[in-house]
Amino acid sequence: MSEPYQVFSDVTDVTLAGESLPGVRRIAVSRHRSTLRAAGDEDLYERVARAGRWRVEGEIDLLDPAIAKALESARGSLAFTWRDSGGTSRVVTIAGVSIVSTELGAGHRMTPSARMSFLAESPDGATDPVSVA
Amino acid sequence: MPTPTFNETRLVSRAAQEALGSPQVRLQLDTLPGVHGRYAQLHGTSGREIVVRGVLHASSPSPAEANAGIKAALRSKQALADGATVGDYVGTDGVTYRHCVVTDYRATGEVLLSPGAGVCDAMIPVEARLSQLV
Repeated sequence: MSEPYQVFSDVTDVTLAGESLPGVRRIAVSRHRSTLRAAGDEDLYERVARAGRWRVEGEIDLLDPAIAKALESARGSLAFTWRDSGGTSRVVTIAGVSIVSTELGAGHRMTPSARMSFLAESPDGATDPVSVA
Repeated sequence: MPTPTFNETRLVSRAAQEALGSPQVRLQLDTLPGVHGRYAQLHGTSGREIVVRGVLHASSPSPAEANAGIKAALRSKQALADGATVGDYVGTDGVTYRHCVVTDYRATGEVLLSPGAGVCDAMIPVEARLSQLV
């Protein structure tokens, strides 16, 4: 579990399913694994406590609710350029993204915002959907 | 660690839990006209149901081979439910139950693939049901 949770701030050139996504403030990716736990009749501790396959999901925070609304049923790759802590620009690609929910925030004298939650699927079941080049 | 066996074959790889069913009492109850209470004919017991739960385990170099290995292990155990073999069941405490048959052996959850260094473990939760005949 080398990268259980990763927040990408300072992102540019964000595209989702080929569409440009301006005004993105933050993209967060979380990774969890399925578990199997079991113990026998005479076990004081769990005899089986294993982590299995990965589940990759995340959130996109952006400024424009209209764009978020327009992409609420998008499915495809999410790609963006991210500057890492060393100042190096890296291209992050998240494959098989499906938007599952869109929360829109707008109010009087309030900066509008939107949060899109997504799932990511592996193209072949063996490749990590998240790649950083 | 004792693992429950049927006919000297281990029923699960790890984490064996056993649920002993009640002995089944054989009795005939009747009422008689003009007599209070019930007339009972007692005929002893007729065995019990035993449920064993645990985890099957297989290791292989690749996820696909691990899946194939765990499915082969599952089918191998399911061959115990052949509708023909009457054997001894030995429980998690080492006690022997004579004259049992395996009536059901099934996976109760999804295959869990757990990759390690050069090896992939596959595990699956299983449940076996046995019927003691006498």
